[in-house]
Amino acid sequence: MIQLSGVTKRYKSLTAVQQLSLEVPKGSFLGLLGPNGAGKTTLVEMIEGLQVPDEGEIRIDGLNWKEHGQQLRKLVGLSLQETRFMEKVTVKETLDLFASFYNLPRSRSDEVMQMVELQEKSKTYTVQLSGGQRQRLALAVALLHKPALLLLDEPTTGLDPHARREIWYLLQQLHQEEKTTLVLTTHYMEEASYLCDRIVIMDKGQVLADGNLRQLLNTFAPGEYIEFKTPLPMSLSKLEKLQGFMSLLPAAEPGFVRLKVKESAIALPPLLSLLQSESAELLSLECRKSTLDDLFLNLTGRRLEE
Amino acid sequence: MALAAVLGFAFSKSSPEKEIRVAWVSSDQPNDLNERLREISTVRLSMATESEALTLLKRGKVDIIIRQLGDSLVFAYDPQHEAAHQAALQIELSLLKGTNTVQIPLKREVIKQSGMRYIDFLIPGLLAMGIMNSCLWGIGYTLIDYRIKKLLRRMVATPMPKTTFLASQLITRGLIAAFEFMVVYLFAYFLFGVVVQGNWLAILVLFASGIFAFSGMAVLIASRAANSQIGNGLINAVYLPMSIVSGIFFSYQGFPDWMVSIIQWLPLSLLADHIRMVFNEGASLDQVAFPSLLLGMLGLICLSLGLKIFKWY
Repeated sequence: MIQLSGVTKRYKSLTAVQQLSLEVPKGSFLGLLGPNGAGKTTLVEMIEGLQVPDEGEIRIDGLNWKEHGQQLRKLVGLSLQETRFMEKVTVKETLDLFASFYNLPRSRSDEVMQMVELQEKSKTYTVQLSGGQRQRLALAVALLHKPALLLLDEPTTGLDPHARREIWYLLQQLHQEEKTTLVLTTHYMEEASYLCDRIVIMDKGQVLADGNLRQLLNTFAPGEYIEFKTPLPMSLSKLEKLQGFMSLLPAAEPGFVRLKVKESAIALPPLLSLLQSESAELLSLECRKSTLDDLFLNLTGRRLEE
Repeated sequence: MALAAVLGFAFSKSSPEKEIRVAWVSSDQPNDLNERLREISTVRLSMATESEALTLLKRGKVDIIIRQLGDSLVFAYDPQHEAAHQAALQIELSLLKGTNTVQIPLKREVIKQSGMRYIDFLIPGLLAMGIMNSCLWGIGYTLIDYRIKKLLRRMVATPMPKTTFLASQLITRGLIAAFEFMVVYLFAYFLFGVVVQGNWLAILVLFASGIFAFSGMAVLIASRAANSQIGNGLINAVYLPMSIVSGIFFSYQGFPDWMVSIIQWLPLSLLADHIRMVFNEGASLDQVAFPSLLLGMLGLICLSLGLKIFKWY
């Protein structure tokens, strides 16, 4: 569906996107994950035709913006980072206006309004909508002309968890039922993990990692974490002999021990019997899998959501 | 700062040295009375026939008409016009204080026929300024606002042609401005009896060319501004100087001559002066053809320049 080859975009001294190549097959749900300033928005806006790359080529369905702009505008649906609409225009009027830009009948705006569940807000001025409702309206505008490719730039940034879930649900439906190809940028790893069947991690205008969640974590952030607290200091050498032991990590507070192991399900029973044999009382215990945040930390030394 | 400089120029000759522009109407050859007026240093006398004097007054080129009737002088002006009233009092005072002891009988004539009063000067100017306001703020600010909201880029990401978008802005603005024009006009008509003595078609042509000129300027001003402070500043930088110097509230003839020669070609001056001519002097369509053409061309130049550098995203 999308082919990028050697795409570069520079702003004065800053290179926002550097020699980036990527291929997105039809029907996939791709998440572009990265911290603010990673070049996600620039990349997406180049795919949307809103910015022109300095180098490289972008093709969508074999078409490019230079020659086939008009066709591509009909093919691509997009929602920008925080679009605000005309304030004293209602939801229905906004949709009718944009429907007219695509020569669509007004009945289509009722359909998309139903899809994003904004029927009740049909006569509400856009300025009175909540953040989540406004994003749903932006999504509705993007869906008007049934685009084969939907590009969403941070569709849930600044939304509360409930509103975020509602958008997620909508996007999943589009992916599964309409077979729409989706590309979404986000700096929430949870969002990318939950929604996308492929995740591209970006930093400083380049692709750091590319694959599905499991592949990425296995390759770049293997292992799981065990953290526990005992009243007495543990003999560390014994911990190192645990099955699947990978490393000992600096603990957050005194008395805590942080271990990285291959699989906590395997390492945990021997750890518990070890503690018992040492007659060390267990004050707290926590196990967690690695996340995309750990992965990003491993790759760049920085956290994702900073 | 520019504003202060402009106003400074305009009023630097104000009290006590403000120039008084007088039309002198007399059937006699220049005589003693005429000489006495000339002696007053602040008076700038223009010799005129009766009809010339009326035109000068209508255009704001003089504040007051003084007629010689035998031995006496008749001061004709609109007492509602503050500047004219002050001018008359000053001349009277100077004549009384003069070294020549012979008293001249003075009379006052209140001008109240339609087309000659201060309100007849003011209303056409306000109508012209309304057109400018409506376009600069209406179109200029809307475009900048849409750009800030990213609505502009959202719209051009659809298959809608950009020309359609701009044309819709122009048409909408034209209709709104026409409505505003009629509200002010009807208000002035019923309350003060301000009438259009000339051709309504001439008004329409001027109106349309004004809308086009100022819309073009608005597009140019709004072509790159990406935040409301810069937008505000740019619009004000065009709007404020013109609304002050272009002879809306007071005639620009009081400025130094070199400034007048520039000011009269400013778009707002062109529009205001000619709308005034149609209102008060009954100007015909062909008398407004040239200024309308100039305004139209200005609009075209600004529009094409603006579109060339326009930032849609």
